[in-house]
Amino acid sequence: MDVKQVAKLANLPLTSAEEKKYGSQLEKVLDYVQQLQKVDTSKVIETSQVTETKNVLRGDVVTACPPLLQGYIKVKAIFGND
Amino acid sequence: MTKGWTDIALLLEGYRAGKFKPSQVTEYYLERIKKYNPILNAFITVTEVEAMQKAQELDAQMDKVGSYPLFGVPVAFKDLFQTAGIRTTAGSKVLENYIGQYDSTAVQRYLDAGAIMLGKLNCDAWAHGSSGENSDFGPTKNPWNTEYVPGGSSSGSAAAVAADLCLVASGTDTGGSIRCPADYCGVIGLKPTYGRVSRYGIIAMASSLDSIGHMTQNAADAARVLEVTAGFDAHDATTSSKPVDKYAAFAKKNLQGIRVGVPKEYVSTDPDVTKLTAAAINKLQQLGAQIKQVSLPHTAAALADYYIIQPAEVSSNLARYDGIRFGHDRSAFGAEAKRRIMLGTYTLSAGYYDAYYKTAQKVRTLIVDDFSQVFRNVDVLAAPVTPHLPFKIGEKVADPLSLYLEDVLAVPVNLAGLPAISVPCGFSQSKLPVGFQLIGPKFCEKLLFEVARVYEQSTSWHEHHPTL
Repeated sequence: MDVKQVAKLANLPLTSAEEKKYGSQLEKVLDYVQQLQKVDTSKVIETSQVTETKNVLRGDVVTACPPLLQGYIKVKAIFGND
Repeated sequence: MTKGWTDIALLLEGYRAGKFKPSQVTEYYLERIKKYNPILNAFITVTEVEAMQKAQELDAQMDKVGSYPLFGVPVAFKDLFQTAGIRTTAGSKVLENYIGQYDSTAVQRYLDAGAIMLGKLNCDAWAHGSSGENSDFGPTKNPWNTEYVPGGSSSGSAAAVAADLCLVASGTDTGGSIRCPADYCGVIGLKPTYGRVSRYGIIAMASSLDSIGHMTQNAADAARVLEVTAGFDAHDATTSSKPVDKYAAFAKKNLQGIRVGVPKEYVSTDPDVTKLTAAAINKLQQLGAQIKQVSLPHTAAALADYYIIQPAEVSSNLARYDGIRFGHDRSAFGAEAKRRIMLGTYTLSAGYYDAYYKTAQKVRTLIVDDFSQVFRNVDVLAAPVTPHLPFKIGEKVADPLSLYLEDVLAVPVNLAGLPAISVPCGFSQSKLPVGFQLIGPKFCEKLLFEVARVYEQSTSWHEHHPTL
């Protein structure tokens, strides 16, 4: 891992001592998570959430707006009244 | 004052009978906090004035005990739960002066139910840690032996409940952060189903994993509290609209007809933990449960999976702390937050995304499927919470990976979004508490409480308290 580059991407100001320390610690973690490459995922689809809900939306209700006219919102003209 | 209650039911009964008042109960806890918090460092902020004010308001409404499920119940919140007008630090120096504008939904529900807030509890900064040592406000100590860690990240929550500095403490569990400290401190720790309790207003760690729960001294209290905190919240689109069960209406006297699965991959490396977990499972069998050996084949991959998904979400959630809108700038992050931000930034960066993050999301599917498979044949799973006993403060700080390995038996539950409860099951030869976890299918908290309570009443481990 290029610690300098990653710290820049993450907007983290690091001292050179920190760069060295985190570099070796994170390499160890990356070595560990490498084991996932051994799992056969060729026929698996991703899970990004576990809520079992889909497209949770609130009602699109306009509660405060100027008066309506034939389905349009009536406002004052901005280019003069001609 | 001699304590006339050991749980919420007895506290409410005492109020109803006029044996004591909320202000007296609050004073009892505030005195204990004053006396023992300097030893344990469980609280970051004690809200003495606000607590006494609320207690006195309740003193004047003693005829309404029955109308509020948590009337005069002294609670404390992990310092990740935003509280209006009271600072919320997340255990980090970045937010040491941050005072929020609104109560998180969970806090609001506690307070509306009549609870009295005693203060805000210490935790690993941003909930990153399994030992409680990562707090920028100093480590919390284990009340059973102050040389040992209380577990993390909800370290103050577990220590405060174990040491009787409050009756209920809230917590968050992203990869074991409620169950692990509950295990290490000998209390009940509930991690509800993902989406059962609103995350609104609680500082996010990893949003697809964060689960909002609590610690108590017994299973019945945990059930009562979930009746209050659970349910749909329009402010959190991941909350479920499923109705909330009457969790505290216990029906079971034994475990006849309950099938308990014991996953062969969930092994402890400590002989005491192995022995006590086996004894707990034996007890479940004696109580009528049918024990079945089961397998969750992707357990070993789950920890690696978690340490890709979780830091990725952490790096994204912590991007908002730029020192402009609130708090200090990014140089104020502690070492663990910096490590996780960098790890997540790296695995999400162009060229590495597919190899790390996308693969991890696929493995997550396999972990979810493992659980779905076993829950066709069993009702709950029983397993150790952590592979070994609490360790000494400072023992593992130099090696972050060894601390990550602490989470190995806790994280699969989070990846699958399942409910789990950590239940005390005895003491090691070194007199440190040990717990085991019961895991259920989604939204089966009711069954977990029933099993935990039947077990608890036949063993009484929850009646042991540390001497401080």
